[in-house]
Amino acid sequence: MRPAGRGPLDSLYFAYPHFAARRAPEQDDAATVHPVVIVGAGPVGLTAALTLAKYGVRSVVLDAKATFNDGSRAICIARQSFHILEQAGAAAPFLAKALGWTTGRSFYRGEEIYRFDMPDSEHEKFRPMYNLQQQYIEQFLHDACIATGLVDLRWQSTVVGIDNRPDSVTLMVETPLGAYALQAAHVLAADGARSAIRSKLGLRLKGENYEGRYVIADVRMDHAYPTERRALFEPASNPGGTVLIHKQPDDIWRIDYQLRDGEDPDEAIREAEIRARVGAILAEIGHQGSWELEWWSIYTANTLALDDYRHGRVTFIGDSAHIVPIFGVRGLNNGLADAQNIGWKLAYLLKGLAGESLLDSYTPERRGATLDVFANAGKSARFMTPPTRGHRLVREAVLSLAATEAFARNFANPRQMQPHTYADSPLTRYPARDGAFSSGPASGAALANVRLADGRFLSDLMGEGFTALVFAGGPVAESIDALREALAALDPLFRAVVVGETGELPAGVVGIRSGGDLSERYGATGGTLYLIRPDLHVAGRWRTIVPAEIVATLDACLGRTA
Amino acid sequence: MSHPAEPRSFEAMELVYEQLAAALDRVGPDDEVLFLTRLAMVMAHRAGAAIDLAACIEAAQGEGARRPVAAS
Repeated sequence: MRPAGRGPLDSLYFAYPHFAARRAPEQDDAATVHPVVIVGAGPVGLTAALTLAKYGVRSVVLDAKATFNDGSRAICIARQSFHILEQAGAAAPFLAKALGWTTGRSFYRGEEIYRFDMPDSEHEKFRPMYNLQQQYIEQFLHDACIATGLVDLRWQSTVVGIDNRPDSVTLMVETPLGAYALQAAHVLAADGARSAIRSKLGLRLKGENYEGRYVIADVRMDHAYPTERRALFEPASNPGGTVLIHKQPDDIWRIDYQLRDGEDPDEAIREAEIRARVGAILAEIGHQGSWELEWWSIYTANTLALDDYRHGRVTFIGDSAHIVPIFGVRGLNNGLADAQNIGWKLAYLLKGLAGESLLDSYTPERRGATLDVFANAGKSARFMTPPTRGHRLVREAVLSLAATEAFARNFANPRQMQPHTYADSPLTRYPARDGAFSSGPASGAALANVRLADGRFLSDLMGEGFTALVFAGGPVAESIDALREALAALDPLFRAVVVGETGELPAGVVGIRSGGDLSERYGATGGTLYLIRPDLHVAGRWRTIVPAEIVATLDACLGRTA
Repeated sequence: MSHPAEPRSFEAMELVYEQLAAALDRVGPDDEVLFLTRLAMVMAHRAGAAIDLAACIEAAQGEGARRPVAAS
């Protein structure tokens, strides 16, 4: 919502483009079956389109709107998401615009009781978190999609019907220029929390709704404070409710405040009420200058998910599949991971490099991530919006003890998003091999980045397909050659990266000369091999190579074995 | 179960948080003060010499304790 006199897209800082409806080719000739149709041009749908395009796979993206999202909404982009954006070829404008941060502070009745610094070091290419308004996220992804030449974006196109058959999907699409049927081999439903595809297929999200409501409001002001997350518990300006404050680009500040129990949400979102509450909060944090109200909205915390993210040829990604509380910033970030996960798998399938069963790993991997989020986000939500008197009392007890009792401070930890480890994935075949390692990322975990002697990062050396990270030394050279050929025969995008190799390397093999720090961080010795997936998760690792297991792992990761 | 003299880990305290919240809800607002006092008595007895009860009372009576509890 926006102040009186301004339309829904009259932003103080963002010029919304208007995307015209275009006549679809299907309105003249309906013969084409598109490999992938993506419903929803939000951050998740566009990231899926970009990931597919990276592998040369075309997609059609439908969106009912004529432009980007009306407000800043999801503003926190986690480090792992920056790796996803980088792999999709879109990170540069994000890095130029977004505000990176590492620190959060919690206050209780005006007194700082807790400070957290998210893990960061010279070995990380990206900061743990970045703030950026969702319109910019969508704009940068949109521009990147257009640049690929492989994404057919169709705005003002509403899906009003779906026929999900065993061999293909037909979508009925309505536009200002008329309706048409669109055929797809695969549909990705990225149409958000109120997914029309989900309801048309008769599917329901299951889980818990939390009572507490938060108003989120953006203001523009000149306010000197670093980019940190501030959480105010029991502030004088909002008694009985918590306040969160984030800095965004363009001098825009996000103020989230919890409504008291029994407050009427309709009353709470009146402009005069928003101005009074935000004004009081800004006064409490010492802002004395002027401020302009930009946009506001309201939300409740939920942990809801589909039982299965795939239904025939329709796959749900992002909020259409799962809704999580915003505390811990997992909604957007898990959605981007969904998009990347299904993106590379679908691309491999459509290019004939993988079997259909590879798609079966999507739900266990990504729903597993959601359930992991629920475990943490549920705790966060119960702390941020205590559901009962008992919870309110215990929260009050630990917050009031936090100033003097160190043990109580950790309860104010927002449990920020961490990349999920696909430990129980059907693609993780030999997790027992982890036992031989004393360090390094485990099977299913995200790649641990390392800064190399030449200034590049380990993540920069990963290929578009599977990558074997091989630590040279010891009597393994010959078997590695044969193994490399076997892996390359399975995955034409396969790349070998050899660490500590000083001799001449065969064509196509990337060498890292000085592997000291890397070997240590990966618990590696001569002959150690990590097999890295296209999404930078570890498919498996062997302290000393076991060629048959490595080939079997890649086979499983290509959906070629049961 | 950790040794009585060892403070509970944060993970264990998270469980205490949830257990206590649930117990307070079961007891209800009318009896919660008596419940918490009884709980302190039981815990003090079972902890024996492993805790300094006077120091615990002082820690809990710190500045936070003088404020009215916002729970309604």
